[in-house]
Order: sequence, then structure tokens, then C-alpha cells
Amino acid sequence: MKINVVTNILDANNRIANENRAFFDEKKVFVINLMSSPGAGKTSLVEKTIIALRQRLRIGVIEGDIQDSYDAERIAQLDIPVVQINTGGACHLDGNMIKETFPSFDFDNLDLLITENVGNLVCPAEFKIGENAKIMILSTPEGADKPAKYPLMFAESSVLLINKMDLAPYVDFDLEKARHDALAINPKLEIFEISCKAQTGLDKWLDWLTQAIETFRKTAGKG
Amino acid sequence: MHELSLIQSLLTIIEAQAEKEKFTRVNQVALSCGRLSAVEPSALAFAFKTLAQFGICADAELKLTILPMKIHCFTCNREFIDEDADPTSCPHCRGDQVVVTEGWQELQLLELDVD
Repeated sequence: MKINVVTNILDANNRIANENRAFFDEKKVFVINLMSSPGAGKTSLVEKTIIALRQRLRIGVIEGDIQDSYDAERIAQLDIPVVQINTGGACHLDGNMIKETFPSFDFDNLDLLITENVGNLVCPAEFKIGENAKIMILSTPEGADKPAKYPLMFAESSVLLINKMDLAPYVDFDLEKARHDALAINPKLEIFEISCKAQTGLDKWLDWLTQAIETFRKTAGKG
Repeated sequence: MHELSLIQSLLTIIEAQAEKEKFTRVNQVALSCGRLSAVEPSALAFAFKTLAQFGICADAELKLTILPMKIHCFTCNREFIDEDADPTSCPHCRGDQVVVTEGWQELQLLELDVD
């Protein structure tokens, strides 16, 4: 007997992610899902973003790693509420893992939740967590061929941060190719060239983020 | 690695169907996904074999159809299906103003063959 059951396999995850999204909307918390390969500079970007915006916004952080709490300790030093999720081998964060962190945060006193995903250029792009925006980092030593080789994450993201621009001359990074291929995959992608270490280009990213949060607050009804 | 999570979700969906439709044995599970989705067929097959071995899908065959990627070229204005999965240039005119219009489809359960 044949049964026709057309169902998205990720429906269960998408449903939890949508519930998370509804909860964040109610609490007026803007959520970003930060993704990249390991070592591209996610935690450095989180630190720079916190330092730049902490006077204006109440920020919380979820750190996703396969094991260890090294990243969470870095963020905790900034005196910011942080929860470490150890996926114990899983290569991505999913909706349910995010939901399980809810009791650890005081969402009534939070404006921005930064979720740092497991370092991986493939799987995290498949799983929604209830975010407002997916943000990805490509660092120049990884090479300009990554958009063509790992297209899904570039297609899913709203913002591409090209990090370690200070290293670009030494690693023969072809910026034009990276920009061109990324935009071929996702014409709406916002691309910012930054260096967390040299502290360049971060203003444009911070402007984009604060603008996005402002727009979100208006539509979510917070003055 | 996320293929394990996908198969876990798949098995949950099938078990719910089994309860609803009153079947006890699955012969074949038909799935589809876009070629640009991050699903690796051999990892998917391995995850299925591992996770399904003690349930109603223990003897089921997994049949995965990979849906092609479609690209629109702004230079020659043609649509084409790119088998080589290079989403950055047109195979006809070599133009590089292209946009991928299909191929991201996530893993979908299509049909079950059951007893």
C-alpha cells in the first residue's frame, strides 16, 4: 500500500523555531543567528558588538559549541548574560536547544540576543532557531571560493561580514570574486568588509544592526 | 552530521503516520531534496540504517530523489538546469550575472510504501 504524505522533514524544527520567534516577538527581543566556519571570528565579532552597543542595548548571548565553555567565559568577562550550549557532537543549533535556554535569561530586560552557532559552514544553515536574521562571517584566509562551494549559508543569510580584511593582501583573497559569487547566489545579501582585530569597517555592521533592531521594535510595537 | 537529526525527525513523522493509518511495516520511504540543500546522500543512508534498525522501518528501503538546481542568466535571459552545480556562471554564454531560482528545497518526505 502506498501512502502519499508530502511533509517537510524539518517541520518539527520549523514549528519550534516559529514558537521561539513568537515568544521573542512578545518579549520584543531581536535575535541574530551568527554562523561561520570555525575560526572565522564569530566570538571576536560578538565581543566587538557588545562593547560598541552595550550602553544603548541590553544584550544576551548564547554560545553553541560541540564541547567546552571557552567562548562563554570570554563573553562572561564582559559582564553580559551568557548561556553555553554544548551540542555534544551535533554540528548545529536547533530550535529546541534554543528553547531550553529560555529559563536562563530575563527576557523582559533584553533587547538583543546574539546566538553564536557551532562553527560549520554547512549544517547550521538548514536549521531555523527563531531568529530575526541570519548573519554569516567569511574570513579572508578561508578563500574567495567559499560562496560557490557552500552556497546554502550564503543564500540563507541577510548579512555577510568579510572578516580579517587586514590579512587579505597576505592570503591572496580575491574580494571581487567573493562579492560577486555571493551576490549571484543571494542578490539581497548585505556585504560588509571588516577586521575585528584592526577594528575596521565595524561601523557599517553596527549601523545595519541598530537600524534592523529599530525597525523590528516599530513593527513589534515597542516605542 | 545533521543527517542524524533529519532521520530522527523523519522517523517521528513516520511513527505518527503509522498510528494514524494503522500500518506496522514500512517497505519503502521516498524522499526528495534540492541539490543545494546541505544533505549528503551517503550520510543520510547511514543515519537511516543506524536509527531505523529497531523500529517499523527496520527493513525499509530509502529512496532519495535529488531535485536539480535551476539558474536564470540575466545576460542571455535563459533558464537552465545546471548539473555541474556551479551557481556562479551561465553554461551557455559564460555570463556571470546569474541567480539560482531552485535547488534549495529542504528534505521532504514524499511517499511511504507500507503493509
